[in-house]
Amino acid sequence: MSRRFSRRAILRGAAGVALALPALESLRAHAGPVAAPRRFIAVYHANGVFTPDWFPRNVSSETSFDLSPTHAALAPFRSRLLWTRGVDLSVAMSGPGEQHQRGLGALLTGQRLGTGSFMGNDGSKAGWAQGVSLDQALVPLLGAGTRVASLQLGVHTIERDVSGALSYSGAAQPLLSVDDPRQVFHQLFLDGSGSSTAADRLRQQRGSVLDAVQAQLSSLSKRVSRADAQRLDRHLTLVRELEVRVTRIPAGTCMTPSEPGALAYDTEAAMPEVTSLMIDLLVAAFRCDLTRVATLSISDAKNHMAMPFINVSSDVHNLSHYGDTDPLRADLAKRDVWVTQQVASLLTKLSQSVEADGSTLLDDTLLFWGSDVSRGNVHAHDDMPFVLAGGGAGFRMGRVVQYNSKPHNDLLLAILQAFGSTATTFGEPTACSGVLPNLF
Amino acid sequence: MPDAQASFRLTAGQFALDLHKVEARVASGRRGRRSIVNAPSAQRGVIVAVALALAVACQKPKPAPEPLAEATCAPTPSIATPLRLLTRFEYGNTVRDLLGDATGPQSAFPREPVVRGLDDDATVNQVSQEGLARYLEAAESLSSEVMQNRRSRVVPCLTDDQACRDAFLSSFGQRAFRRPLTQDEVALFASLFDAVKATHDFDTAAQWTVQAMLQSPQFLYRDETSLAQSATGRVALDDFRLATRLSYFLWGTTPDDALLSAAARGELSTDEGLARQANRLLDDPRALEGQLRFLSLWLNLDGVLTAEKDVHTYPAYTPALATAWRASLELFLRDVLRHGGTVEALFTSSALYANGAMSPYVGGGLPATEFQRVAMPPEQRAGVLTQPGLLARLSGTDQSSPIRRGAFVLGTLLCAPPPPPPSGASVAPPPVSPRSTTRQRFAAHGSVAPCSSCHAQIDPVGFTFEHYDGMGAWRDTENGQPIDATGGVRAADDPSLVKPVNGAVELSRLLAQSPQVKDCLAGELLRYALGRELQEGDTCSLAGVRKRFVEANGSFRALMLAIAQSDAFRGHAPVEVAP
Repeated sequence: MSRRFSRRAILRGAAGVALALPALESLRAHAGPVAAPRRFIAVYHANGVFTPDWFPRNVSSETSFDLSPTHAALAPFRSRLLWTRGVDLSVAMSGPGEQHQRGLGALLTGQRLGTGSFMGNDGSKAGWAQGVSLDQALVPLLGAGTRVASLQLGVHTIERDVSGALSYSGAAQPLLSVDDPRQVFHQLFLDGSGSSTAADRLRQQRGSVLDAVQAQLSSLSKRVSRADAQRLDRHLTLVRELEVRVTRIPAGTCMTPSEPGALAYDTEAAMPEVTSLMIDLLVAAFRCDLTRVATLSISDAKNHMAMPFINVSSDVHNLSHYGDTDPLRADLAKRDVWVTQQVASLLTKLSQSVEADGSTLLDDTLLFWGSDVSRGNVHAHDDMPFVLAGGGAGFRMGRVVQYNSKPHNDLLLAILQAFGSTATTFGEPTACSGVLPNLF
Repeated sequence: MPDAQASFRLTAGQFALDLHKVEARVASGRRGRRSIVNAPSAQRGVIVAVALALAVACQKPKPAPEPLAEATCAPTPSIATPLRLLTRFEYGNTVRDLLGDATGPQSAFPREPVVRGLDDDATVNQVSQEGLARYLEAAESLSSEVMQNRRSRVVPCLTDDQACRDAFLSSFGQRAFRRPLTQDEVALFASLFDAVKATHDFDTAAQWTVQAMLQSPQFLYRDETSLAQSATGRVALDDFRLATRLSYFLWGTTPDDALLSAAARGELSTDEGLARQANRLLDDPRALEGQLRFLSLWLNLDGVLTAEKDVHTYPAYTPALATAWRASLELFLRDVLRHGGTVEALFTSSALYANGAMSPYVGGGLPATEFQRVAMPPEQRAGVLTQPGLLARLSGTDQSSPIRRGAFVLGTLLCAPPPPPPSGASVAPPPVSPRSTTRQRFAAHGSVAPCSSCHAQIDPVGFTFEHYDGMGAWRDTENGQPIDATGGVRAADDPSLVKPVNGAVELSRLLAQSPQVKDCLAGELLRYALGRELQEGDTCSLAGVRKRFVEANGSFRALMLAIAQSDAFRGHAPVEVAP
């Protein structure tokens, strides 16, 4: 482990405080002042919401309403938020898998699940979602050239199958989230990003080694079945991306956070700390322009866990099944309040980070927040609890917008177009009726 | 595979009859469960129809199972397994044996997708951006660690000349890639080596070369596909590929030098040579680790660690107890494997390993951390199904769960999983009440349509476990009422299982003797060995393996050997090669 220690030593001062670190070249490196880049975040939390306490109340017009008790923490951002009503996860209402699997798989892809062997909560089986997710579709529009194409952050996402996959680079190509904040830190801020002699040597070493690895991949591709050759092609693409990441010469500077200490990140008790660390890393990655696209998954669609830090000791998935009037179900509202506080904390930090052109990160970011079902006790997919936040897409915020049963693929398409895509449909085409209106 | 498709192309008149057969096959797991993902398109319609039929399957009487005759064997051979990315378990064992590593870098790797409990399905286990970054870090730290010992393990000489370079490339290369390097590979690594040596030194050159090898696909993947073509429709794996498959199956790690030497001599291509090497590997202590790995996945031992408990209901629950449950179960399985290693021992052994943390189950007087083997009271517990950790996992947070326990027996042990609940049905367990027993609450819960048809199958199996509470502790009464643990399997392919029993000990005794349990276990282990879903082409191999397993009275060792000697393990249908 001496190597790791020495690499860390490059990055840290003797007192262990964070140093100003060179950030990486990106599109912004073009000459002249350029508007701040735009960014996208998707936030997922598991198993729907306690609807009676969730949606805005006393809605008399799009802009005249009261925040629900669950969303009290969002009050400072009321003018930066948009709640949709009547947007359905239509594509998740059928196809392989159970409702949580289908809902999570469809949330960002707008696709049904393929057939497969992943077991759902109720014993039904499914494969991965059958298409690219919105965040990944946005990478070439927003993040081409950043050091890390996109981040998949997780908080207690235990399931490593379709019940835990929010992000997809293509059909059946899941990008599973990373639950360990230290791993995210390493991904963003270590890996030869210093500018010392040692870092130069590390870059040279990795370049030479990965060149040989690429030659080995090409050579094996010629000696395997056609199906395996396709698999190795993808492997080769990923190695090329890795090489770019770990060998690029740094330019510019930005303040990086301190390296998170080791913690039992996969325990329920650590969820608040992990969430807070992930939010800090996400904001730092945006601030240093190391990436422009991120997802944050708070638990997975199976989600059999307690939340001891808010005194919810029962299995929250089971809780989500109780009837609307069951007193125990109010514990779910406590969970919703906690998740809301985390989103509010993320919005606060985005709004406090000012960019070179005077805008804040929140001005330049669109956040899309959703779940795999709307009402967990009946596993419904209608009237999803979607919230949009921030100025990144140019949508008119501060509103509650009522739709008459629109498929959520229309919303995904609207976001995609808002960021410059010329696509006219997204996800499963039969579940997309066009761009969701009344957003701008 | 035109033959396979033809055999599944059904005329309208045949449809109902054949659907019935396929349904029985799917429901019972006999003759190889089919994968919808991999099924040729002509078969998909049938399988989808089966899935629909299964939705009402619990209401229909099952047709009598057909005897498994040689004539039912499919004419097509097994399909090839795609490139198999090493699992974390395999990677860790491999670098331990290859480099003497004791740091376990694989613990930072992404977790594998899990397909019905198993983590080695090559179709879904693929590299990721995150995983590649971890491989890079692991290769760097492993290579620097090993070179600190001045070449002892990787460089077989002490000079700094070209002869020593060549000796290093061929000896370490062969051990890393599990076969001799090709000429192209020698040339590639020699040029990397020379370039680094010119600017640095010999040791640095060896270190960077080790890094490149450890990140090469030839190391990271098990290549178990022969590119040979054949007029007979079946190709045999060459010796080195078979050696790799054999070693990872039986040991969970890379082949040792003796196995690679046997492969180089062509011994594995003969029945006698393969039997000799397989038996040699099975005689080695590492074989126990291989068997333990499979059983741990099959029974989901790690699930015990994440079993959640309501601490108000169960104040004795602590993370330390969950860790003790996991360790205790593993010690139990090791005990079973060391003492006979049979299905019967798995379900009837009286062993319980306990330490101080487990005192709620066995009373005081045990060392705080060290586990001791104690004998369980025979009228209360016998075998794996009565181990506290497993029972606690198969429970709710605040009560036992007859549904989880029943579904585990049917799905995992009998390969006859009950169909999922109908869409829209509430799947909440009945809330705990101080006025009733768990059995009473679940009985009322499962008695309403459309739930009742399936719960009439699941719940009676689960009720036989009612002497164990949500922590797996024994109880004679619940809320002042005596425990009723009568029940049993209501329908199964194996008629010997279908009889009323009182308690899990009696149920375990039936399972210990049941051919259906052995058939199920054999199918799952074959799926593990092949790293993919079983297919129609595996039918004959599976039938042969099951026969030998039953004839060997359910000996795990005999089962491992039978799989290693099966056609599905030793070869496959020719594959399509890129032009």
